[in-house]
Amino acid sequence: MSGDESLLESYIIEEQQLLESLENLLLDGEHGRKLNSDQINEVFRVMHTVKGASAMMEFDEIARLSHALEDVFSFIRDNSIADTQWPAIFDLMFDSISFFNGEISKLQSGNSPDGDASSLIGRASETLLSLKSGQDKDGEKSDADDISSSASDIDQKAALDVKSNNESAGLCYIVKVFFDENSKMENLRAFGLIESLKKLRCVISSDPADLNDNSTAEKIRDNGLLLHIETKESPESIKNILEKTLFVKSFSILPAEDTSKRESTLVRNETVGAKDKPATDEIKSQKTAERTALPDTNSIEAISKQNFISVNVNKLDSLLNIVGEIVTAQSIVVNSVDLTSQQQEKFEAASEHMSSLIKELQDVVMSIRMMPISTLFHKMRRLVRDMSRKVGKEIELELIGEETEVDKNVIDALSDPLLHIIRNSVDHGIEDKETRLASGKPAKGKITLEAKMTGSDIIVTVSDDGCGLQRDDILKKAKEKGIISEIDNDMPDKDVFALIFIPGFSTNDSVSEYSGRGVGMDVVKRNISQIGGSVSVESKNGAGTKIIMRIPLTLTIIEGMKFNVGSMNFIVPITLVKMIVKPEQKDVFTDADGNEIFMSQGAYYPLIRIKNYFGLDDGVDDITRGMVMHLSSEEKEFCIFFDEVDGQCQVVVKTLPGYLSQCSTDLSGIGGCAILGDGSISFILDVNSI
Amino acid sequence: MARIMIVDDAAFMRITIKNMLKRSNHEVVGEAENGLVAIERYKELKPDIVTMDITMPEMDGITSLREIMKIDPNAKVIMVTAMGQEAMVRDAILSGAKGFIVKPFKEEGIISAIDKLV
Repeated sequence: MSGDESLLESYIIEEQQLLESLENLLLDGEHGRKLNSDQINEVFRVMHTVKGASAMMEFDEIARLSHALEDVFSFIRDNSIADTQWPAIFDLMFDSISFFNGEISKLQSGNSPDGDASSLIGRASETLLSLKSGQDKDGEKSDADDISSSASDIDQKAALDVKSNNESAGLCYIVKVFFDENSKMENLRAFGLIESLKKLRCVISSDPADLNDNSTAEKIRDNGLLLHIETKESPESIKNILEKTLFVKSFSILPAEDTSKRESTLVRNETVGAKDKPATDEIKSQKTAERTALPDTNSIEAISKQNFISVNVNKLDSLLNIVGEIVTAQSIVVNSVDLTSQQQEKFEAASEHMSSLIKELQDVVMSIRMMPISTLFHKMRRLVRDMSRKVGKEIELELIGEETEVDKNVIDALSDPLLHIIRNSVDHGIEDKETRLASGKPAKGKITLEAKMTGSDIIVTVSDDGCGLQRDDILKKAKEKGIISEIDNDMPDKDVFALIFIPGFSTNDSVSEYSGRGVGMDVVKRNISQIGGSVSVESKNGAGTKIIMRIPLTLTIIEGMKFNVGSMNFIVPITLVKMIVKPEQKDVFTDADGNEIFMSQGAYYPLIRIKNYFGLDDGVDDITRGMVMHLSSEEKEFCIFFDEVDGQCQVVVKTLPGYLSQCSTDLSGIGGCAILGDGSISFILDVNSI
Repeated sequence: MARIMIVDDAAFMRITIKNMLKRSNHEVVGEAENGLVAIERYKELKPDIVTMDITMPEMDGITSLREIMKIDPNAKVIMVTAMGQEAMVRDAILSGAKGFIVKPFKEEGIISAIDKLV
């Protein structure tokens, strides 16, 4: 069944892409309170595609709903509708997208899409009805009618053509045709058959006569199609055509004389077209042009699309893992050979070449995993839209740097924190309209979501122009919760705001549907630090809050500085190392509480002895016999004391095995581990948690 | 065995049709995701049969069909359509499509249609 699985997989991937682009299109459209004709066409097309694919997969509810929506947009496409009707259509579409997404995620987790779309389908048909009735009131003639009438004009004209071609009457035949069950649109199959038979320069009439009327399909399905053919060609040639016609199940050809009785029942198709053919052609070509014309951006996208394939991300994950293993294995190999000097030279050249290839491979794999952060940002648009409606605030979401590319892991890890921060901003940050106007702000609140790249990090900031964090409230709350023992009014803002990241802290007592449901900023911090990043907050009372998340660009392979304490190996990300010095006794001071302080580059920093911090048995105690490293991150700046530096290395970061956290209650200070070139294990320091 | 080109903007439909055709030992010589690409591919590949979706971005199936018929009046194009597209199916027939199949369809349906055209 693997074929079916991959089919389902590609169904899911494609539907997700379609729904995402649809949602973005609708969000753009809602900004202007209506969709333009290109956008309407696009919605129609997406719904049509979803319908077709879902029907093939026999996901009936998805197919039914997309069919109903397709009908709505088919009507909108062919008729102009009043601006007042758009809000209901947007709501219907957004709710439907939520339904589709829900069903798709059921499929993703291996369940069947058992949701009931009836109420949405009901809404779709009501919408269609009200659109139609609005149209009747306006007294406009619908274009759809034009199309079908123009099509029938052509048929009638064509029937005339056939007749005029026929100079002298030949023999008459009665032909009865049945089409395959389930072949559908039998009236058009009949129409197509008649078109092919016209090659015989014959006069044809059919029963049922009106093949433009789609309801005749059923009659033909049940009773077959009866044709009266007058031609000079042999019955063989009729037979040849019938045999080549798709979905013809059975047929019979009889000379007309034998069935003269039946002939009287035939209705002759001799109506003369009333309209001029050129006029109808013009209408049709206009229609086609409208349907074909798409903005340039779309065409670029459509053309570039064929260069992409979709790959299961699990495959990329294992590819990345394998590359990581290769990096490790390679350094084990390089470090463990013992060769004569002549061999050594060759070996070094070869191993250097191999390293550069591995580096290249690594870069390529990393770049495959990169995706624009826009996918994540656009989800937030929907969130802000839905939430701001619920809480009755007008909020604009500005997206900056959507094109920034980040690793897939980062996107996954950022999703929840972003949701949470934005919920907070909408719920607690942005004030209601009256308060905003009273404090001289524009009525519409603004949240800005920005991503940018620095050398080694990606920085994602969420800022709002709301009321900002209330310093005093935070201090009060922190004391109530026992997070701080005393309110210190001299505490710097940065430290006060950092309190919100401590587990159990939540400044707002009221729990709303969206935020403050037990999960706090501590979860945000935890998620971000899990991918090696850091969070900080800036806020100005009355002017807004800014939350800054800094995440390393490549997650799994870092450039590190190795050092040891006794027999233990440690690694610290090289980007955080400011300086390494051989200390002298005079550089170390002790403060009133007995904490050691180190003077580095003219400033004082806390000095942490790694041996004492982790409670290690061996290691240097004498300051003059060890080394000091000055570390600086977004959040913290301090110095560490250890035995010796082991040099620089590139390592693959592995998360600590789960059982370690069960053995020890406190793993703070350790961000992960890595296997070194000689096969030994080294711990990676988590600078922010020390 | 026929050499077939599949034209559909939905990758899912292309895969579905391809799987069905392959099981009956037909050769899928190419795919196109819109009508414009289909015309180019048709010129290169000269497939025996084309399955052509109607609603596609960039260029719809009917326009593409007409262009292909201009290039090769003997082209065998089967339209892949859905209920509700009757007017377009009619256009397609008048423009030279050899037939049409209606989504959702079963494997036997598309195979019998192809076999009849070969």
